[in-house]
Amino acid sequence: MALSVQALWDTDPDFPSTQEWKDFTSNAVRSTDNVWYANESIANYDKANLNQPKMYRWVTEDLFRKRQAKEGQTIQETAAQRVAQYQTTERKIIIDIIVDPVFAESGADQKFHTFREGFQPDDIIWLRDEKASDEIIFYRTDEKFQTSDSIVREALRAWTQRSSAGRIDLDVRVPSLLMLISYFSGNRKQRRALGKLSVYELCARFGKTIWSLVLFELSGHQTMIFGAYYLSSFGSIRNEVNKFNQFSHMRTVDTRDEGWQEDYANYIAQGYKVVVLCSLQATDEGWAKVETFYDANDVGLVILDEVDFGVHTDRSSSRVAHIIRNSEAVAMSGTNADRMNNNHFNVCRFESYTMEQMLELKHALINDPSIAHSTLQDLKDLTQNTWLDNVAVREQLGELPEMSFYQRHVEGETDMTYQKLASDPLQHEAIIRRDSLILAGADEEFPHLSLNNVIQKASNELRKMRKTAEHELLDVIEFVPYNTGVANGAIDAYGEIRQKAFDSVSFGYKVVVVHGEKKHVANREGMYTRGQSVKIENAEHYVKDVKAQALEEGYKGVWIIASSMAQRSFSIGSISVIMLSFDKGDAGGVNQRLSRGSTPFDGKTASLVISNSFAKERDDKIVMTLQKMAKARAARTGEDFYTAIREVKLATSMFRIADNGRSIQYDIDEYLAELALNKSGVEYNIARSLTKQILASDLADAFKEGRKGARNRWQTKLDSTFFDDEDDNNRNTGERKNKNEVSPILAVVQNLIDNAHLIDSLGQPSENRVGFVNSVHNICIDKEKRISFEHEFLIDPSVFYAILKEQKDIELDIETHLSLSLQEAKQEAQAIYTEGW
Amino acid sequence: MTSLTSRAKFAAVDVYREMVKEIPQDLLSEPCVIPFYGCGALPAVLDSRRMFHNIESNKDNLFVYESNEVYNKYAQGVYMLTFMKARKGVHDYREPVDMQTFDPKFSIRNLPYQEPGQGRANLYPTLLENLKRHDYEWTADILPTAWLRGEGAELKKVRKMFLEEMGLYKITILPFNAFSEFGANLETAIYYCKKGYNGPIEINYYGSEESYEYDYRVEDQIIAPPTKEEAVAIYNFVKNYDHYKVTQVNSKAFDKVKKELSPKKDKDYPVVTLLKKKIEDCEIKYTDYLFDEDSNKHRVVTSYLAAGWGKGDKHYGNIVYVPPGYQLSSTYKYIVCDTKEEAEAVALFLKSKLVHYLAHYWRTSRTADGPQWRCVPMLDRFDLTTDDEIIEHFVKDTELQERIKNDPLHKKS
Repeated sequence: MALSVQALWDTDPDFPSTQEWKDFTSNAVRSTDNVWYANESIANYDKANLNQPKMYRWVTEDLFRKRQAKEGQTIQETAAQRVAQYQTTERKIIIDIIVDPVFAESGADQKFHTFREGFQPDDIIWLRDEKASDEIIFYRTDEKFQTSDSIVREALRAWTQRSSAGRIDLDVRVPSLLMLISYFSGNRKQRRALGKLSVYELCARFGKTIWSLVLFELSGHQTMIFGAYYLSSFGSIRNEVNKFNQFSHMRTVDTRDEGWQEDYANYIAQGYKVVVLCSLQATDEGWAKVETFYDANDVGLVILDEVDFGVHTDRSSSRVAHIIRNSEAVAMSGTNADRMNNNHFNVCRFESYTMEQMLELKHALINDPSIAHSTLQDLKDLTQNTWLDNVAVREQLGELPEMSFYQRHVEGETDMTYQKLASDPLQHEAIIRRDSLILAGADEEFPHLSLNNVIQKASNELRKMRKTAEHELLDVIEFVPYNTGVANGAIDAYGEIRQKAFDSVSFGYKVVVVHGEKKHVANREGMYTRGQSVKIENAEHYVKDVKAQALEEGYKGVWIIASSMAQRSFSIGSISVIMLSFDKGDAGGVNQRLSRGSTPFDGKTASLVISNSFAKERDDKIVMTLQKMAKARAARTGEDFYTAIREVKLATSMFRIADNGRSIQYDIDEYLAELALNKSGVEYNIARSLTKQILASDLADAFKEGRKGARNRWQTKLDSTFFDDEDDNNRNTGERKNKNEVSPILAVVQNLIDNAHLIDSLGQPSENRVGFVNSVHNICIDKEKRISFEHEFLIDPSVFYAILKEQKDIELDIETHLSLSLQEAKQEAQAIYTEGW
Repeated sequence: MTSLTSRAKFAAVDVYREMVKEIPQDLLSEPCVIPFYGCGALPAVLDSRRMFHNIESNKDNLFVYESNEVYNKYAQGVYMLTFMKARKGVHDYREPVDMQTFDPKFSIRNLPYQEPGQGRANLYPTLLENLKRHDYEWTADILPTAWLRGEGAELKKVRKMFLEEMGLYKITILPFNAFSEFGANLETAIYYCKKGYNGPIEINYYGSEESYEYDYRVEDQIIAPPTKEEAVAIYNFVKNYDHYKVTQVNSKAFDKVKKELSPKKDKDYPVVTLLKKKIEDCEIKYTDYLFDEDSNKHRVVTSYLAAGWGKGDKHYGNIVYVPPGYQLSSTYKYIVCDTKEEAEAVALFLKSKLVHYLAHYWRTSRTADGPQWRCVPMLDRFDLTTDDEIIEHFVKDTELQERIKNDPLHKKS
């Protein structure tokens, strides 16, 4: 059996591996037991360049700890074959390979090292020992070591005086192309809205670095500021700029370095495009220099990374406001990018690319790789930029783990909800314990529902769908309701019950509850010390620290329990099961949670999402994912939503396990039929959500204008979600007050939703169908359509659009509602023409 | 009540086929206008029959229009085959449309009945008035049955138009639920007219092969049960009997005490605030004020709005004997009787099969207002205890007795 990456850890019982080493090797790919590659990409590159002269770099755990790398050369073999010849007891990890003809000459590597000693004295030291073959390079700081790919290439270019040295060709992934098309197809108002933010929420594994650099290239600007509060992405930018041929005309400068302004001026003078890496954490003095620089230079583009961390705060925002005012500005984040919609900025567009979209695209590319090429061609047609002629496109998204969805109905009291369960776990201890035992495979009545069995079933389902991915049971993360009590100990109690149950049957999982009142159990330089409170940005490391201890205690993995924490910036690759233990009404944020399973790890090819539910009816959590994937497909292909949802389902494993132990795939027709029967429920949910949004906005009066045309629902009893918690003590008074305010708006919204099919048709262009929100936008910008809308619905379509565009999730529900309605209408229409007389 | 735009989804295809199949074959290829078509299924059904006979619809022989472009856009997406070919337009409801150049020969219509919104004015009298200016050879309309017998001025006006100007020759009564799946709960019928017709009118029930003719032009109101004999009998009840006077408490008087009503029994006068099947089960509140002038009388009480109307059940609702001593809230209608025995007998009578039957073929509104009771004869014997006794007392023809006893409406209820 092949070793997992864990074989690289804790190899010396006296010296447990550091978390840094584990993180560094978490994506490692085995060549032989003793030689590994740092990741799949390096492995493939090595195999593809068997007979090419190359330089390689490798580390062992000991070298890594000392910030050292062994750097050598070879010709007639792979780097792995060459490295295997080194006699060390430690396992070797190849971290970089550079193919270049200069290494065809024997001894070139040593000449190169000699050059580097003079060229990069602040970066490296060449450590020589007695044996001439031991070319060890010491990197002076952690950051130098982390960006060694870039540092080596800069040196190689200077030494060979070839700007292409050490570079490879860029192949862009399709999600990046799609979001570039999104950016450049924006209208002129968006595209040239200097000083206004284009906000892009780009999910984990999207590839933000390459997207940013290509966007910079296609923008035509010479200077880009790449700003961030946390600076981990700076290394990625530097490495990618130095890695690809297509970025050979780019240079980076870092505002934390001495003399960066001079470097910038020199690069610009030489005709380079320059990325200015700009720390928003700078001292006031340092920041003053940035502002002076901005005022004196033509910074055409500003990209801000991870804007939900630090960037949106008042302090950073006021800084950012200064350096975007004359530039195109893009704010990126994996989640919560809407935080940039604060008082400091004017947001001119909000775009997102979700995990559901990426999963859908992954499946689509397997069936039709030509999508990749046509997308690249679309971008070429749009931008007319010849730089793209030298760019390839990656045909697959193979690095993205497959995702399966298991709908798990938890037997229990019929009125039980996760909200109740989590509010007082001790009162419901028996349920949680029984559930834990079932998952552990220790329940005689439900052995087929054990997690191990479910994993096997999930893999079987993938095989049936002719997918090569396999599920495996590694670490588990379980999300409980977002408001599960921390201060009252509810979430800890929940975790303790699970732990006791697991321990009682030796189910080897250590339960790790993550919340802000937990204290770190280890030190991490520059981030936290033992005893400090866990924060969102270091929760991931807290779990890793606890896991390290758990493994020492003999546990085989961790079972993470989280409520609001761990939804973002939480990349633990070994998570292979994401369990959603909250109620269907709480479905928002599912995509953030399920993307926790997308972090690569040791050849992990699939993650399993388990949607727990006490309710026997359909579970919104899975349905929402399905809808989002269908929406993504419909938007990409122009198909109607009904077709899209069927196609998506065909490519995605969503199953439940019957009482007889058989797995049954989610039946999309059954689902749609059920949905059709509950159309009014869907409609009301949409209306309710939009009404709430309107009440929270300043558009309430504008909506009341439309009440003349609306159904009379004044007598409608408002459900409890319309009341603020503060009203609880005075519900009667609150109800009257709220009802007067809410009912007219609800009636107007209901009328709009009842007529969504008409509104949608009015705004649809003659070619490919657009989503409902875009259709409403089309009505807003077309005078005649606008008048038609106002005449019929008595409100300005712009106010409807303003609300809709803030409610991305609602659009999915509207699309579902519309799709069912249109599908039904078209089928009936077809029947009219086919019946005889 | 639904908003007018909901008409866009009124794809009552079977009803539309019923209407379209009646179009004389020789007119089929002639110019047709479908004003305020609502749902594109209506033009599509016409187009379907034309295609079956190898007649191509085009901009010269099919003109469809609505009040807003939203209808046309939607219909074009769903009924593309027809709407790509047809001439389309947008016109205000009250705007007379000039069709001189199009010169329509026939029209099929499912016009909106009321203006948008709750309790708005009837729209179709105006629409019909505008449309009858055109010189149609043949028309078919789907309209409520209310205008057949309704006593409002506009209803009478519509009745007059159909009978005297439009050449009504046939009525097909549609099932109550013909449009209920689209949210419209009311009884409708298809009214067929041909230019210059002045003879008896054929009555037909949707789905039935049978029909009869009746010279409704000599009647003030049109009653259209399944057979001619029944029509004669119901006319007899309407014309030749006395009817109950149905009244209610003055609503202003009740409103004055409404807020002070209390469930505590420490006040002088009990008030029925929620009617149940027996007086003992009714919700009773109390007041110190006497506002109900008839509270010392024996009364048979019913709700102003009967339940079940939305399902096509036209009975008079919950009928309860309320003895003297109780005041009523203004939401209830009542009949005053002289004695307890009479009141109990009237209550039983009003719940009988005969009254249910008469109500079914007479009532046009859900309210319990006076005109809705004008088919119910006053009871002249208070010893009738069964449905059969009541029917046999009022109807002498045995065949008719059986029809009334076995009318399908009794199965539904």
